[in-house]
Amino acid sequence: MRVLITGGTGFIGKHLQEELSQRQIEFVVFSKRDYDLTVKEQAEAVFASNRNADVILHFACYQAAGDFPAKHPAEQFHINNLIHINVLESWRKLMPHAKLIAVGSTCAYPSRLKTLVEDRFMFGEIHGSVYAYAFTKRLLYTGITAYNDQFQLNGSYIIPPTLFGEFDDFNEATAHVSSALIARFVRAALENLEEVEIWGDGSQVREFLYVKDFVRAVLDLIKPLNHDILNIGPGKGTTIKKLAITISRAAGFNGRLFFNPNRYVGIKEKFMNTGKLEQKYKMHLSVDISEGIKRTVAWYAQHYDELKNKRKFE
Amino acid sequence: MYKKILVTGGMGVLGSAVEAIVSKYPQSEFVFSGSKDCNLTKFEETITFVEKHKPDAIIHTAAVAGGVQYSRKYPAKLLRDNILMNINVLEAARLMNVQKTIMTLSTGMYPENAPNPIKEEYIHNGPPHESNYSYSFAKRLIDPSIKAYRTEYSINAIGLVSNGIFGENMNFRSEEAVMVGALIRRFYENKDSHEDITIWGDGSPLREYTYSNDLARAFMWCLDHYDDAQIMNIGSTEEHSVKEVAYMIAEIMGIDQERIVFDTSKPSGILKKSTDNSKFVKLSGFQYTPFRIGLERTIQWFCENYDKPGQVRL
Repeated sequence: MRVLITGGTGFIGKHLQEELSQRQIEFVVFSKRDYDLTVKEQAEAVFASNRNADVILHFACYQAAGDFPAKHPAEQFHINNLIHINVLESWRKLMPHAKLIAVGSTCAYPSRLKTLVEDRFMFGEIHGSVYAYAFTKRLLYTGITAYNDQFQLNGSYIIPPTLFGEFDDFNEATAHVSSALIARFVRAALENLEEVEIWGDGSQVREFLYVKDFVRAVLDLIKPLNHDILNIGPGKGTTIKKLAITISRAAGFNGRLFFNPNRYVGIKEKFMNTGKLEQKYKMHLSVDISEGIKRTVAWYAQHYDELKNKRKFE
Repeated sequence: MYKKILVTGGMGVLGSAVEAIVSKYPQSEFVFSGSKDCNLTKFEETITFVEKHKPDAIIHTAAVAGGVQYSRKYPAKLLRDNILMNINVLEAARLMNVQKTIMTLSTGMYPENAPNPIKEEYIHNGPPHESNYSYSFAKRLIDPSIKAYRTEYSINAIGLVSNGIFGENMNFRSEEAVMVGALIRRFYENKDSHEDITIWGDGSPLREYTYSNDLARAFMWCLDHYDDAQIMNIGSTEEHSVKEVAYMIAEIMGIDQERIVFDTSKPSGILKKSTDNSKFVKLSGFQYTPFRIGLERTIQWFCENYDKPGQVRL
């Protein structure tokens, strides 16, 4: 097996590289500076020079959390649409023999949906500032379906919950809640702060997965996945309160946790249905994130000085 | 009123309907472009073209579309070309400071099981008809795209939803024609034979049809008077069954109705699909042309031009 990874130098990509190396599977990664996937010719060039790969893991996208989506919806919309269309076109033109697995996002599920089950992925309003980005993730899924149908290709679509781990974005303006809290608690512990504020009353439920557990699952699924859409997560939620306590302990923070119920935190509960993962693919992922949190906190604390002022986009 | 107006899809049924009424807008200069003038799926070509003409407004009616068989055969092409055209037009509008841009959606994109009459806000609430999923998604994607461009760049882009368009210059090519066009052509080409003319299904589904001249006038009204982010239905709500339409065409063309046979072993399609245009009608006080009158004009045009080379898309 030989794997071509798009987005291979990003957060998930770095972990894919590590795991592929450990399994002694050949792979190719490239950065945006080498080949810019928003440019058709460059996307085709990197696919043309890696035709001997038989798996494409498409993880490239232009994304950040926090208030970034609210400020740059059109930019995110435009860039991601181009990336996805260029990747799909390059795939069918230059590597139609290869299996493609692309990564989606839970934010593209309808906002009001209670159970995030795969066959409801496409349908329903998306509220809040992530809508533009979320629709490009719907485009990616529709694109895979359409390219499978028109050109008899084998593409699949996988949806992770919120991932955290080493190499994530820890900038509080753009990070997801897990890594934002890791950054906040590590700083609070180092600076001996008395209190850390957490938005909301802590009762909101979200689904988290340690990135290494995710990439292992992805690699195990390469063979069995064919023309499918699949949620990959524990299928259970963790309260923000529990997440915050787990992180504060791992960081050695001894002060108070102040859950501020007056700050807006979004919907009450969001986690995926993983019935398909468990029944069809016989895979179970643990909801216990304490080990992953420990490792991530230790890694972040170790790299604190170089990361504390790092911004996602320069 | 905008001084210079660029109409994409200028050779299409809607574009040419706008062209037919330009004399009503003497203070504006119109440019009509077809795929030969500018390939809108190519970004550089689009930018160069818009830069050359420097329009104050763009009416973007260009789209790749076809009937059921075409949609089933080319889902990837429909998705790719329509999305590329849409994002290239929006990017060009932003970069060239175009004051107003109209994007064109169609009611085929609405959820198959949406309650009748279909309101604008139902757009993302369920799967479209499966035969046309990729085209429908490309149209749905216009909704988040105009919101994103309005938010980030404050451009004035709106989305108008047409339905069942027919009229002079419509597409009569067998694979690409919609029902009214396909029937007119088949009846005309078989008018001197005595054989049966078979229509799929039992003929009962009710559909709305809008004469292209009406849509052109509605677009011109919205160009000057509608500036909201919310997409708006602007088609006629006059409904006819497939059977009524077939008999009406036969009667206008002098064909014996007895020759029309409905093959009930074939699927009929969705039974009823009606749209709510009350917002538009309330704002504009618009008067639609009766279906029968539009149909007579279309058939007359078709018969007069059928033998003239290059006049009718056959």
